[in-house]
Amino acid sequence: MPVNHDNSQNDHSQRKSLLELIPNAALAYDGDRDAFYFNALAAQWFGVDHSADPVERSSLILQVSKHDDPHPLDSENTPWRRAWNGEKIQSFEVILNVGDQNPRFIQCYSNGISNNYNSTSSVVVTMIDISTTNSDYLALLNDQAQMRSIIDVMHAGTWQWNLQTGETSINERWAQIAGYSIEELSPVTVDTWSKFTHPDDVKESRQLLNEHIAGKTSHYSSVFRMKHKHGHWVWVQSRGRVYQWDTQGKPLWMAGTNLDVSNVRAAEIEARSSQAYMQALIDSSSDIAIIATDTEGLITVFNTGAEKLLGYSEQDVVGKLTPAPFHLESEAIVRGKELSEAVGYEVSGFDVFIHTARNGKSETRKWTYVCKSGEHRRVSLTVSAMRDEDRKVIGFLGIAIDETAQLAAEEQAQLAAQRFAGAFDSTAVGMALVSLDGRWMEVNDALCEMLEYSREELLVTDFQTLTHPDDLQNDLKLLEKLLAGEIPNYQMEKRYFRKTGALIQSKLWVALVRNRLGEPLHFVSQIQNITDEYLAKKALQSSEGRLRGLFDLSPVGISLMDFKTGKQLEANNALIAPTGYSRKEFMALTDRELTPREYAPLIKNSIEQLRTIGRFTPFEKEYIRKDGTRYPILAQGILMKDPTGREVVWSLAENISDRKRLDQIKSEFVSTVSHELRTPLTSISGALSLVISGVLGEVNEEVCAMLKIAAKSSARLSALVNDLLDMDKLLAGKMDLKIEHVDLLPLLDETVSGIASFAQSHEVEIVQVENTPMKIHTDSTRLIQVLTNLLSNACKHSERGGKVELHHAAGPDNSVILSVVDHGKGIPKEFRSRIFQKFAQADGSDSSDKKGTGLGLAICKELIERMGGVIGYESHEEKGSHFWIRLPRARTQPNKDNQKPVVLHVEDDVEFAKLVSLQINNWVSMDLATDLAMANRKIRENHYDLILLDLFLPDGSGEALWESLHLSQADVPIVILSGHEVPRRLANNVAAVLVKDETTLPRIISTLQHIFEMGEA
Amino acid sequence: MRRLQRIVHVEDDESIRAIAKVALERVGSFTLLSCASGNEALEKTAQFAPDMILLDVMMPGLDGPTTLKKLRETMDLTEVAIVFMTAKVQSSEIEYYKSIGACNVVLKPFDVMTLSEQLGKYWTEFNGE
Repeated sequence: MPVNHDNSQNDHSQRKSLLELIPNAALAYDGDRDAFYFNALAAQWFGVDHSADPVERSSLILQVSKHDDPHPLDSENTPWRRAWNGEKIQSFEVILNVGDQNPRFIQCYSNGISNNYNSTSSVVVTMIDISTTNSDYLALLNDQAQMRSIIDVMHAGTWQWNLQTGETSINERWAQIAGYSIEELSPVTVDTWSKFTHPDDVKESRQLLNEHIAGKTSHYSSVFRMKHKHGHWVWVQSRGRVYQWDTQGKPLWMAGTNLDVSNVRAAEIEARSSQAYMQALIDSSSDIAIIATDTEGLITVFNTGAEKLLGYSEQDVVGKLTPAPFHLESEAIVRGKELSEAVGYEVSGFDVFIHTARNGKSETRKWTYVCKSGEHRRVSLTVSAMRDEDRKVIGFLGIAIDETAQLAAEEQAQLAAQRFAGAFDSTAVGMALVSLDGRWMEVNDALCEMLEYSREELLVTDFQTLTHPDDLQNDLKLLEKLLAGEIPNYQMEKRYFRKTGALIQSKLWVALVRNRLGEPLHFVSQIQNITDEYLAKKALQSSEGRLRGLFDLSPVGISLMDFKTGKQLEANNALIAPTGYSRKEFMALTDRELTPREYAPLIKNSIEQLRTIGRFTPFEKEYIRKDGTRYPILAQGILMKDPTGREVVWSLAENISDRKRLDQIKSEFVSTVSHELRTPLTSISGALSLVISGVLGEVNEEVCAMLKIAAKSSARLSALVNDLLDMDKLLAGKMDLKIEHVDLLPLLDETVSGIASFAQSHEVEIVQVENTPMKIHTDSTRLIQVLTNLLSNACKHSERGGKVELHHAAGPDNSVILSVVDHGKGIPKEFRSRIFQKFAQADGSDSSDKKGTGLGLAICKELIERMGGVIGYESHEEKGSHFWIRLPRARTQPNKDNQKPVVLHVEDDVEFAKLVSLQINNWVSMDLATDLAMANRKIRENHYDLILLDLFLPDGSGEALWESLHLSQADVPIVILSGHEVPRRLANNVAAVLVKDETTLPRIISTLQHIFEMGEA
Repeated sequence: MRRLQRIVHVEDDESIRAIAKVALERVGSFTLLSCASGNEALEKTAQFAPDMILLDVMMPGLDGPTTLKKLRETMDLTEVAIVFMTAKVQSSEIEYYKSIGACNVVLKPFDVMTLSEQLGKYWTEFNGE
């Protein structure tokens, strides 16, 4: 169209200025010329030079689209065209795609009325950029762009389907997947898909499609088989979604992609089956531990073998632990350092185990696994990385084989091999290979050392040179026999010269080595240095000689007897001489024949001791001389085995005639002296008494005081003499007792009245508590003496104004118990163990008037025991003492044959006592005392055949009880059963000592049985 | 019952004799004849006509029992209480002395102050009360 330049120029400027007045982007569209006028902002949007107006649409790289349809609007539908056609444009939203600019989302407005300027008319459209408010949509657009590129890359087929019209379009690739070109498939309808799809898959795919269309799923996704042109099936994955709905909200357009997944599918099937196979393998291998982890080390698989090896259960570890706790930390640290140094950066934690595997190499290493129990296992662990199709690491797999047993076996084998290899060199025995002519072919270190030559020196010499001439002949003879095949090997003792010329005694063992043909090759010699043994043997022989001398010259009789037959094997002169027999006569006699009959029980006892403890404790007996007279000996012995294994007894028989005679002289001397003292003492005390009494006239007070001291001293002296004489008699067995039935009450009356004046002088009252008449079996004089002694002791140790009680009561086993109770200071602990000993007295802090002779209680004990009774005491410091005597009411021996032995167990551990009791109560009647006081009471009240004594008791040591029992009831065997060490003094004076912790109950039983059997015998 | 009055004491030890003399004469107000040996007793006893003879058992020469035996040969002792004095205190010995005619035994050493009393008791026993 012709344009008036001036006019148009004018018109143009006018239009331009008008457009510039609009604050937003604006354009004027000339529909006749299909050309635009832009203001500055719009020019920018449309990517044109602002000064280049008007711009023809055809010169613009411009695409306008609606946001819900990726397809460009045709030109008639553009907002400006519609405005030109007279349509009123209100909030018409379009997307401008201009050149390489980002899509711009704009809203357009126009009144649709063209303005005429001269001959030219145009419509004005104003535009607002709403991109920012529609960024989400733009992002979507962006995605779509990406989608397209992805689709291209994926080599995907695409499809588009109008759900309402059935209009369907596909791309070339879609057809290609099935082996066709798009032309071959035309016309494409919705049925094209179902035609190619595997009948088994159509139904499922259609259902999935319907579900999506109904809005139940966000996407349609289905895998199905399509028939390929070549007849095979192709696996296709189809994905798509509805992207446009009509105004009623019904789905309109749906689009999607098709991918050929045949390869993936095949791989998947393969993977599935191999995975199943692996899983089965993993599960079934109980000897191989298989542990898989994810990339971070968290355990994902822990098979039976791993459970077995490590002791953890699958539930313990899967998803919870990394393998680190199974490893010895120290090993992991060491390995970590190694790796760190090798690679130059720090490798630690889980990486230590998988570093190599991560870099593409499987790695097998020895590790120490720490089991749940703490036990260590040596394993061989192979670690490899697990990867997906893209070779990306998805985890690690460890396969551990327990090598603990295997290693141990290998070590053993290795050691054995080393031993074998090293035997020759390292053995302490000299070894040599010797040529047939006697040269040393090979020698080991031990031999060199033994002979003091170096190896080189030895190899140039021969054995003949080094052998002692006296032994050589014999050696050569044996060698000849060996070579001749008469003997397989030989052994001899011989002497070698050392380099220094010194001789060594050796034991030689020689064998001959032959080749396969049986020809002699060389000798193998083993040479052992036995010089030390040889010398020791010599020394032994000489010491035996010395002992022999001792035996012959000993002043003590020594004999060796066969334990079984009792036959004398050896006897020294000291044993034979006193008997008056010749050696020959003596050797024909047995010990039993030499010993008087009455010693049979003692001998039996000694034999029992030999059998049980291997020795018998010294005891005195007599031997009968040839002339029939006797002499006393002290016998002791020990059981040994002679080299032939025969049991022999070495016994010592000390002739104690002299000692006995001396004892007798001593006691006679004491006796005589005492007697001789008694008469003058009688005079002294008599005379003093008379003078003091005043019957001879008044005595000056001072003189009287002195005389009283003299009288008191002479009284003590005579008491001492009396006690000494009593003791002497008792010990000499010369005390005759007249034991008879006695009425107890009068006896007690007499005792109390006899001591009344003494009690009075101490201001002590003696109370006779009971008055039950009783008959007692005793020597009344002696019982009075004992009671008097006890009462006077009680008075002495009572406070002035105190009371001493004299009790009597019926005791068990038809006995009577007499007790003297005082409330004085009690017996000092340290004195208690000695209280019944001769010349025993409590500490000297007591005033002298309390002192006695120190023999009183010893005599009491002797007397009571001779009367068949028991004496004992209990004492509490500061509370007084309680002395008791148990005497038989009638001398009737309990019939032991049909009665179980009665045992008192003194033990504070009640549980232990119960245990012991349970073991033996079928043949022993057990009684228990849990402390000393209870034990004392029970011993006082009952008769026991044996006492089982613990030493550590809550109220003191069992030792005190032993002391009093040992002295008062020496015939009751005591067995110490203690968890502590037993003092030797005690151990030597009881029937047996059993240590609790070593002692099994059976040992208690056998010990008790043994004691009771001996007792019966 | 006759009162115990006259006692013969046979004792070889001089000091015992002296003590006993004082004890029996001064404390007990008895009439005492002290003899230093069995022989002396044999000479003097009959003439003294004692109620009681106190005889020491152990004496050189004639001992107590022998002296008693000999005395019995020379005089009638049925009315005379015989008491031995001895240090030996065995019950069997006491029995023995009783069997040879003693009525009881005084044990040595004796209490000088109670000796008279003791003898009085024996006298009573001897006379069957």
